[in-house]
Amino acid sequence: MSTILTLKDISYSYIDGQSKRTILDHLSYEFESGKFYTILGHSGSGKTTLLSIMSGLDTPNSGTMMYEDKVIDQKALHDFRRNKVGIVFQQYNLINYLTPLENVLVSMAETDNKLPKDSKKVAGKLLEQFGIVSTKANRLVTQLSGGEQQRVAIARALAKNVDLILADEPTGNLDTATEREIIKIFRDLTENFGKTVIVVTHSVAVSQLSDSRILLKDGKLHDVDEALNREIESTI
Amino acid sequence: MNFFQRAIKNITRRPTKSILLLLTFFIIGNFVIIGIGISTAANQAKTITRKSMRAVVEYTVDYDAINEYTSSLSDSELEELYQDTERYNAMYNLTEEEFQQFLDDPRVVTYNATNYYIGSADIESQPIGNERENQDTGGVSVYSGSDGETIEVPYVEPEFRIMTNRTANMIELADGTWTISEGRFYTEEEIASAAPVALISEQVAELNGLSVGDTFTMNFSQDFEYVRQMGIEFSESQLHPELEIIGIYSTSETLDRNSENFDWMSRYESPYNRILMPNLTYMSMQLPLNQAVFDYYAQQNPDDSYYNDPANRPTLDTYDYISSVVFLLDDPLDVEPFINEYNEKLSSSYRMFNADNDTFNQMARPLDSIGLYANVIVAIVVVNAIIIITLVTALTLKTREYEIGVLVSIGASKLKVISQLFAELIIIGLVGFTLSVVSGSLIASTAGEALLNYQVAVDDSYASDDDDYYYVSGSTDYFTEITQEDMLANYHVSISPIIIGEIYVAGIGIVLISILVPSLMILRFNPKRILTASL
Repeated sequence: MSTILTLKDISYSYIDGQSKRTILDHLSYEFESGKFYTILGHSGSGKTTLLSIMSGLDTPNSGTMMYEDKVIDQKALHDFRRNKVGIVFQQYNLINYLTPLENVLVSMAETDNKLPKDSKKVAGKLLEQFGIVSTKANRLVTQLSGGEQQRVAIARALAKNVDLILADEPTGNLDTATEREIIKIFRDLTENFGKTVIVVTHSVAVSQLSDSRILLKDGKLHDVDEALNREIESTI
Repeated sequence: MNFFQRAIKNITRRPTKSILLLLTFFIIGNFVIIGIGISTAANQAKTITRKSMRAVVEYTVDYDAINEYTSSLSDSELEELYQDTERYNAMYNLTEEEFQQFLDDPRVVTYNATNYYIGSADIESQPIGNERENQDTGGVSVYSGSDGETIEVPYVEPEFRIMTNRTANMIELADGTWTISEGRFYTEEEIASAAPVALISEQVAELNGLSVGDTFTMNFSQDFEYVRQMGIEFSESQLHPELEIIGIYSTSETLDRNSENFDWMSRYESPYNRILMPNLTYMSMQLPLNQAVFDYYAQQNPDDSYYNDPANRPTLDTYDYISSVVFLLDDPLDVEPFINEYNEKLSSSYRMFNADNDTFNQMARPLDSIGLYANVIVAIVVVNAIIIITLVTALTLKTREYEIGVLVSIGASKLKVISQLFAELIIIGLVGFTLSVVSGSLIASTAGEALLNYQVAVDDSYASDDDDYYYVSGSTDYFTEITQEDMLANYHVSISPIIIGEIYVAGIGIVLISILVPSLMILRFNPKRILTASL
């Protein structure tokens, strides 16, 4: 499998009062395409900081991030967000004065990737695939349940035809049944559509359904082996 | 879905916020339209009135400045000034070089280098028909003779205004007030050679049965009488010099019988009782008198160095001067800029420009006041509008941070986010301003009239007696008489397409400035915040 995202020697710290707080410490990792990753970690371990760097919303103090073979520097961040990555948030973050269909169309309008011409029809079909039927697709998003909103958020992330989906606690606000549905969608995206999904989560149950589990600890990413697994199950 | 479509959705699906903003724009729009409407009407009334006035500027000797200067001099210094003919003339007389500097200005159409006198001729003048002309004034003119004795000459009122030209230009002929109905105007050669030629009016010509080629005589008996009483004799040709009529003019000027001044008018104030002749022609007729007076005083004061210097004896050149030149400009609106421009370049502090600006500005005072009020109101409203809309937008932005974060995270540029915000404001603003155009047009006229009436009343209560001061002299005859009623009658508050255009420009300007602070907030927005729970 080819590498889709490479993190090389990434460091991130900030000054907290008098002391320097290091969040990411010379972190390196290679994410392969077509796999479903989950990143686990304690609260305050830097999961959100790592996700913000991987999604191009923030830049590290040092180190390099590469998408496929291209270095994503400051100048390339906007293009990276626009054409390479889709983000799913814990709070869904849909635009609340728009319908699900319109939320997806906004995303489709903000990419340079080649998309089918009939964007409205494509957006409708995409939503239907995630269980948002046309009657719901044309209501305001505030009238949908949490699970439905998260599906719309996933559809919005995918609508740009990107290969990399990053999700920040996507099931954090959902019940167990809905959580399973969402994870199933992620699995489906990797298995049937070759997408790479990286989910940051607290949920051990969710992580157990992924292809690869990674633990963020002491500012570095560690593949979860048996020993780490025991530690995770006892502490997270 | 582009930013403009998002803006439309945001406006229509958040009606409360949109209506509040719409109301703000509507109220602002009303104030702005009323303010601009009133201000424009006031300016238009002034412009219309100004355009109806003659575009004349007088360049003249500033006698007030000279008096101020001479009163600061000691007796000996003053005597020195009077003895120094060259310096004295430089102060009191305009030279041709002085006024010719203005002739190259493209705004100058023509000019009058004209002196004005009153005198008598041995022909009938056109009657005015008021009470005064039939009354004997019974006055006397008093002159000082030798050894302090006084000479009294019965006063006989002159019947003609004598206009003497130094150049072959006449504003009246250029602007059509006068036309030469028969014959011609005099030439530069005739002016230079003091040729005995003159023009009279159609009315006087008809009254006396005169036509071009005929002659008539002036009558200086009255002027020369006091000198004759000193024992100096003049020839018949000196007392009654002959002039050939080379032209007859007709004038569109009329006597206003309803004028307040009509009953006090002399015949020489009638536009028909004017005799035109070259300046040197008139001076040559006056020269015997002036030389005789000089000789008389030289004889009476044998020790006086001034009278004993033959160089000081009057010649024709001594009186070949002028104290004012009136320029006709191509546009009445040029009068003020013309004066302002050349005032800064005046080479002498004893020269000034005169126009009917003072009267005009006095009449325009209420309009200036309401124009100022209106502009102040517009300025206050616009500044407040910018502050209010900036604050409203900035506060609204705070509640929309997550939306901005989402848009930036999915790849929208911050410029597009700002564009959406601008589009939302501009759409609501345009609707609000359009509604205000309708209501503002209805209110502006009533508000404008009320404000003007109030201002006229206030202005009247502050008016001083000086404001009624009115004077007539030769040059000021060129100034158009206006009344405040005439000017105020031109004041009509109406909302023209130009004003509507200005309202929209003002609206766009307000939105553009109001969006500056929110735009900075957006530009400084850190998209990472979308991942934090605080949004």
